[in-house]
Amino acid sequence: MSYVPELEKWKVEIRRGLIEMSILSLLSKREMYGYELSKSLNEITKGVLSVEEGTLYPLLRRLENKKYIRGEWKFVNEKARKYYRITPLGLEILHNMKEIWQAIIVAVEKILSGGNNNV
Amino acid sequence: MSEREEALELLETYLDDVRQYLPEDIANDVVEELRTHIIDKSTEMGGLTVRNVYKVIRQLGEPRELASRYAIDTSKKQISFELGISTDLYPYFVKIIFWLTIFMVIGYTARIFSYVTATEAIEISKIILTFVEMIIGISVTILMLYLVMSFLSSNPDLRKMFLDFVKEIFGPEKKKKEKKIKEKPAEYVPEKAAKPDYKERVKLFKERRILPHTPPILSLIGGILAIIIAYIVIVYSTRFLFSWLMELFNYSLGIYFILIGIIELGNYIYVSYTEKRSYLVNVLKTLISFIFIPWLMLANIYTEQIQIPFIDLTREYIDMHELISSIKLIYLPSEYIMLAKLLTILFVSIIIVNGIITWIKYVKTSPRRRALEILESQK
Repeated sequence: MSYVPELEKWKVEIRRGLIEMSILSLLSKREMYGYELSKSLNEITKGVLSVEEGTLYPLLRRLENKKYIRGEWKFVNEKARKYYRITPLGLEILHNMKEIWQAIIVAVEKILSGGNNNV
Repeated sequence: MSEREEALELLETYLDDVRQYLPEDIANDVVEELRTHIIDKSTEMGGLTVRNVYKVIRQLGEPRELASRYAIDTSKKQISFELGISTDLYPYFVKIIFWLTIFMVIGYTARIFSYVTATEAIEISKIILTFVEMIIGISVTILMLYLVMSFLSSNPDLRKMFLDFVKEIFGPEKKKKEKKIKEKPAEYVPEKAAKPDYKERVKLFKERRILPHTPPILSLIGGILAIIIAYIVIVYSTRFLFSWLMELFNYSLGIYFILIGIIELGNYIYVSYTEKRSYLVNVLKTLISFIFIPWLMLANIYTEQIQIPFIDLTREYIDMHELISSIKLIYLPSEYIMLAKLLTILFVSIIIVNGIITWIKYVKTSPRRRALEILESQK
């Protein structure tokens, strides 16, 4: 099917921003380390918003650079891991993201259902 | 070596490779985080074995690709350059070279053919010149393409643009191959090596390491050899009647080998004492090759002053001594002047391009300490 690669591309594009929001949301509940985050994303979304680790760690670094999250090395159970937690700025961004996301869902729903009504 | 030790070695090999491509200021932190990730995940998969570590690092992706994501994600988007073509671009590189070579060979063959048919007397020198031009042309094209592809490989955004562009052009023909790439997105070992079992792949992985440590003994041998060559050049340059251009060449050659000798011996001492590799050696050696540029420029202008050794093979010689003493210097025959001019230009380009490449490599792979020193001085 020739449209499959195009669809994949579309999926990647649409997921990109959502993963950022999901990470911020997960970190707003509690602090987590990279691998833990990756597993949580995968389990909660049943793979829909799973993210490759090679993408996740650079993404975390970017969020850290933007000061949305803060990474800190901690010893837990005798293991040193870098734990991330959300910053006040990150919380604010997350709040705005959620609002935008809700507005998008409502708008898209209207378009999709309106489109169906016309048919 | 135990299974665990082997797994750890593989892990460190991978991390070393990633570190090389990372911006210096974040390298330590990123590598530590990746190390804990690989250990955590492999342990969860059933233990720290070579197989598990290999699986995890394969998921993380090719070191350069992984590191480049960090480079993009940190502050401003920076253009990077590192020699080497990534696995997804490699097939296109081979294909382009293949077709370009075929076109060039056809073009030059047609030109040679026209020389043969157009004139009654076949000019051998012209044919040789065209042939040499073809070889040089193909080599320069391959080199340029290699540099361009390396540049594309070093910058994920540009690489993606290129891949999209190529796929759009050749798309319908390459559907099967595209699918394969999609299924294995971040394969560190090239596709061709995907067939052998994982142990062999691990071996390949290790062999593909960049910047291996050169044993210092090679520096010692190289240094001694260079000094010997410099001595021979200086001694023998007084035995012949050289033109001013060739005398300049002898001086350049002598100085070049003396400096190379000093550097190689210095490197031997440095590596033996500190047990660290010196990153500066290659840069210095390349810089020294710039000593030939003035001579090459002059040789390009005053090509008729170039001399070549000539031995009369029609007569018989009693011993080696007589043979050597019968060597005469003759000026370059006029039919080779064009060829010599072409070669001087080629050599100048090679020296400059090599200089640029070595410098970029040095900047990208310099030890962290050096980068930290620079950062300190900037503060």
